[in-house]
Amino acid sequence: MVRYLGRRLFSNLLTVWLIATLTFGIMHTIPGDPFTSEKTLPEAVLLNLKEKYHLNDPLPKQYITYLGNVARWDLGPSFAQKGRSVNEIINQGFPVSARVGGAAILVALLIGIPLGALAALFRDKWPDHFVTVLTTIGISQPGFIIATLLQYFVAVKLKLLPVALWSDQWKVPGDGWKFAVLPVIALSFFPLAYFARLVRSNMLEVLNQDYMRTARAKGLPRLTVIIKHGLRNALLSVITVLAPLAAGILTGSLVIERIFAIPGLGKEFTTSIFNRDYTVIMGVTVFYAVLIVTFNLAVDVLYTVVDPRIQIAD
Amino acid sequence: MNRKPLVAGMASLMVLALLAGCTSKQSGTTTEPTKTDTPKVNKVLRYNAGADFATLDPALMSDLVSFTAITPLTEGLMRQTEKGLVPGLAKEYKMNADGTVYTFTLRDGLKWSNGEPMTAEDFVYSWTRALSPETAADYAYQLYYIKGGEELNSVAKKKKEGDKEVDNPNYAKELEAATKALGVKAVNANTLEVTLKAPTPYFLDLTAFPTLLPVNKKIVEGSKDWANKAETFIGAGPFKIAKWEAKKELVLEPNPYYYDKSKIKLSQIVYYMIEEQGTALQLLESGGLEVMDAPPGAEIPRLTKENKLGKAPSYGTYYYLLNTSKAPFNDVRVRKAFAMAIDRKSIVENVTKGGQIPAYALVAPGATDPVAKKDYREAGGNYFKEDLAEAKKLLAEAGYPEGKGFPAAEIIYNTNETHKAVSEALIEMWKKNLGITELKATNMEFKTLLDKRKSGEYTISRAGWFGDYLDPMTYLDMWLTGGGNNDAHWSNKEYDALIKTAQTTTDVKARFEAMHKAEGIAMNDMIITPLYYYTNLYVQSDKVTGVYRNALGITDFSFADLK
Repeated sequence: MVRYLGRRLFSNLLTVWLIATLTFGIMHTIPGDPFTSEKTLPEAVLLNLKEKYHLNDPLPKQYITYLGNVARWDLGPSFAQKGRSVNEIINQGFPVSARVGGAAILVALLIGIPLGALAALFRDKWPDHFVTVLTTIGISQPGFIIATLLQYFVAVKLKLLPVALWSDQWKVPGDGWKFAVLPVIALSFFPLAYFARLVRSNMLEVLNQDYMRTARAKGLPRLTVIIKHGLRNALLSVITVLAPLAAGILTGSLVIERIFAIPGLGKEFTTSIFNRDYTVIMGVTVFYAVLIVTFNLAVDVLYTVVDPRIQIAD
Repeated sequence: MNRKPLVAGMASLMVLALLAGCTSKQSGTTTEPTKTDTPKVNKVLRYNAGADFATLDPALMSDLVSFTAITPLTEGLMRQTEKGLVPGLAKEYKMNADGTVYTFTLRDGLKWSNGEPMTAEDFVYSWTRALSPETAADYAYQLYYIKGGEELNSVAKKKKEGDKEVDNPNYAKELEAATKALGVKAVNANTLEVTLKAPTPYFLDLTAFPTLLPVNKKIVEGSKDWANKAETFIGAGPFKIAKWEAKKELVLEPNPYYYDKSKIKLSQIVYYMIEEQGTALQLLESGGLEVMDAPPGAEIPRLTKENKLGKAPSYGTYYYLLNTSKAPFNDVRVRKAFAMAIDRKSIVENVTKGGQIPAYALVAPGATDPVAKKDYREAGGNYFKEDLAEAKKLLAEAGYPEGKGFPAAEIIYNTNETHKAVSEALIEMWKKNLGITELKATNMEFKTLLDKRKSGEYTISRAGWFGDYLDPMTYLDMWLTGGGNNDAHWSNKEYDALIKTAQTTTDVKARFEAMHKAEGIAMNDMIITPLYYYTNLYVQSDKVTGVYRNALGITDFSFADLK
């Protein structure tokens, strides 16, 4: 187990390094730089800016300095958000995005899995149809449509919840949590539908297996069979997709954060590219990569818990 | 499709929504109003800035959102108001005979928002700092008009030696000498003397520009991120910071040390940073916001009908660049034909729909011509007319009768709904009016577009320009031969000479004459195809009064009021 973890850790580091290198390369090949603007800056001003941000150094030197800084998790100053460091941007945005995203994943798991199981058990009956419609909407509709509809009907028309903006104070009694409700619902729609579908199709497959019949034949109650043998097997597929999905959702959704004006990390991924904000591009990409590889590792360990047949061999 | 599941699906959506929130307090903000002594009634004005501002350091900021945020927080020697430029922190100024030396007298008893006294030395420090290469300010060139300004900003840490760059051994010495030579001196605590390189008629306007706003030495040197935190930021304006949460909100309250605090009516200004304008509009219309800019295009017809759309002038021109150095547009007749074959009224009324003004010249309305005693644009007039017959004739003369044989060309624009719609309208018009069939439009990311424009790798490109100060020069000096913003890659010796005259003469009449003449030359060569002059659109609650919007795009809430 220890050797396995060691090996995985090494390959994870290698992956992150590869991603950082590729991003660095691609970033410097796209046209324009952080200081390209509608108004061309005078030569002296440009030189001063490049000197300040060390863009005058040769690329290999910039690359090596950068890797060294990343190793110490010092992601450098942002070019566009003057006076802010990339570490600050991540430290400020990620907790917000992770809260919305974490809640959304929780909602998706708690509702999606039972819905999928239900649909499988009542195959071709009305619960199944209901789930099919719901998941079709959830998967086919882009997030911004669901978010805009929720915002319009629930907040603007019914005035049940705030239209937008954000509060970190979720304590009840208090109003802070209300700001999170619509974004969480909107954000959970896709994973919820996805989980429900996965569980449904896997459950259907499992329900037809011989060992299910055997279990029933040896006298186990139906519910026990379904939960212990059926659902458990079906869950494996959910865990497989959970890692990349969670990393994506926890780091924030551009669309949802824009529509509800949430000060999360989601938009940094795209705006930093528009701004050619080199350090932010690198910082958030590497951060995202670290999250994904960590989650993947966590999932692989989690497999052994859900399915004792899977074992980690050294 | 079976209808039942659909109904069930809708029902479940509603249930989810109802579960989500059972109480109905309609609130858009969690801001706790802060206590202030000045106004007795609690008057909170909430404004959507539309984007985050990272820094409130006047020297480092370069975007309108930050400019609007800093305006109530500090003040320059002069201040832009509805009545034009008025004395700000300076109570008066004197100019010498040839217009190169300005002597400002500060108001008595000026204080920073932390109560410390402010002196002329603070301005010397602030301007030296803005020009210092170490600060690396984008807008340092707004101080190049000061004697020794450009020299100070150009002191380089590294020097070229052959192909190699080596550290400049005299860097510290050169920096010190350039700082000493800078034409900004504190004669005494209340008097600031500024020597300019050459007479600059708009220098006074510039003293209200963010880059020239004062900063406090002790604060700046006290911490690196002083301008990113509510605790450390201080200014000298009507308001000061009460609370600041990055990317969420900035809350201002009246500054008790402001020299004219009786004019302040609001008890709080709240800036939100909502990027999605659709969301901001929803919030405004449900009472969670008082003012916002740039409502989404799709809502403009409705807002116009409901009489909710506000329009403010903007010192900006929207135009197309037809590459003057490449066939077929290296022929001025072709450029003229294209410019004349556009129905601009139809574009502003049916496509952009924001009250823009059709443009037939380079410089947008907004600056005054003191000789003609009216707006510079009005004094200069239009430089061409839309004329289909003439356009067709010119195109035929250039060898493309009825558009026959005209090569295929690409229009490039930065990804945006309005730009897309305008390009489509133009393709349609040029096709219908000139018989040009082989035009297609391609969208791209803004920086990629800029890169192509600057390097001249385009045939037709969308472009726009906003003035930095209210003087035609901000539009004219960009077309100098080899100029960094001369994306038309155009060159004309007579034009260069006229601009040079306008930049250095002290004779106002000769100056404006030269500028009008230069603009005439550029337009006669049709170096750009003007489409329209921008307007700034906003939506504002009926309760709000006294907001000042200047043509440079800055919104000032300092002396606004709520009914």
